[in-house]
Amino acid sequence: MITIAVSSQKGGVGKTTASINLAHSFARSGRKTLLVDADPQGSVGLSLTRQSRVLPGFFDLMADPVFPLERLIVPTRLETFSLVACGQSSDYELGGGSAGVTLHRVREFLRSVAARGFEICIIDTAAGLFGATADILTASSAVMIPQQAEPLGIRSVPKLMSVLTRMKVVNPELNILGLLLTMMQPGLAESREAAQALKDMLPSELLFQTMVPRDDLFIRASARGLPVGAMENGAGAMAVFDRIRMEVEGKLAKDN
Amino acid sequence: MSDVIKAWVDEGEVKRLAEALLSRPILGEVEVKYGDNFEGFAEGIPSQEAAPVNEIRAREAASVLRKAREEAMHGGSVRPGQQAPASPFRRVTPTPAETSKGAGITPAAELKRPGAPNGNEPLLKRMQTFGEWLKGPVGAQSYFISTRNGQPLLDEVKNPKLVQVARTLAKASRPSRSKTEEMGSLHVRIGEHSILEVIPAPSQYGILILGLVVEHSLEDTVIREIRLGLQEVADARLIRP
Repeated sequence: MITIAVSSQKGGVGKTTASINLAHSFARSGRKTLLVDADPQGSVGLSLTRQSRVLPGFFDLMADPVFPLERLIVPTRLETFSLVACGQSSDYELGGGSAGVTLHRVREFLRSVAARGFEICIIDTAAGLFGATADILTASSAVMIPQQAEPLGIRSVPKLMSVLTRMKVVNPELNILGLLLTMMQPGLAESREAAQALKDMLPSELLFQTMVPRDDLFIRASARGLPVGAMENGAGAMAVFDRIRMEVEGKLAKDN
Repeated sequence: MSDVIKAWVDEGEVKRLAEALLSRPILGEVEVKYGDNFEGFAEGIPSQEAAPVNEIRAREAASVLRKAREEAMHGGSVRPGQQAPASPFRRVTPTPAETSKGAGITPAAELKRPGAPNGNEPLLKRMQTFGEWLKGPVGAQSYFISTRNGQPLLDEVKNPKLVQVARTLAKASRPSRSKTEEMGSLHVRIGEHSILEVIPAPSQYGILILGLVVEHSLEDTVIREIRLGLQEVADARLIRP
């Protein structure tokens, strides 16, 4: 099983949108896919199921490892697509959010998920690369980093590089899929400049060629609890994430 | 790149970090070999054929160290009152024992660092003398010393990628929760018979990073002696005749 953590230093950069739609694209391509909400804000759950606020989820399993996994996995209308909600606990109830506290349980969780035949597990993590998120990265096969295409967001890139390097010390197998530019506004000079700056600074392997445009459709999709590809007029946005998914597959194949 | 972004981000630093990130799987529990994609070693290490110290641009190194010290003071890792190189002090320790290239390797249990040098000699000369000890009793094939930002002060290895790897490993080895806790060290296999030992050492210039190419990983007692030795070399005080 391939486990892809979708993580970033900053909040509000489009992690949840990227996670939902990338997972949906993998599922539509026929791969049995599990989307895990490991963000205590619970955005994935809120996006995809109305009852998510009362569903047990990932952090409940972290708090109580004997919690049966079957109770956590929520099927969707797409047979190959399931999700695990965030749950009622949070990482701060797991020893103050220190890295290492949940690592063993994350690994056990992923082993159990793989044993149930899932081929792809995409984990939407909380902002910041510490605490439970660091444990998830330690146990993951790959990480994708959404990065908002605006100048202010670029400030966190050096720190991000340093943290990822430390993560590679802990998990040498972690495949850095790269930065995914999100909320791209081609008509806005600042957005273009931010994208160009990243292209100038980073090796091409560290930057996705496909960018996610700023699109009201994503907001409307979240409001209706749907991946954007399932929306009317969503074919264009769906194609964006299909290209991203193909880039991910290419990077994973190259790494292997 | 726009001026706004330039003001926030050091493009060169990001490029170096990105290259370091892509360059290797780092170490696992004990040591992990570089993958097939690692481009930095093979013929890249001149081993014993080191550049003599007079080839080193001493002024440039002094400038780098001044900047490193300023940054370290700004960051709080060096106190303003901490001794600067030119301050006059009386001799407090014996002069260092001379070591020579090619001397036999000393068993780890018996290995002691050279006596603390005085500050009358230029820093680079002191470092070179220390380097001879590293290549003699310690048994290093070659070495480099850089600032915490990865700027080389002495570099026999002539491999910028390894210097950057050492820098990131040094950062990773530093205890994050306590500044008073002793620094760690990390090593990574870089060739069939070569290991890069990375030993960060605190000094009046901030953290100095020593990269040693050795055949076998070093014992903790040896690493401690090396770290203290480098610290003494960097913090040596000027002695009045």
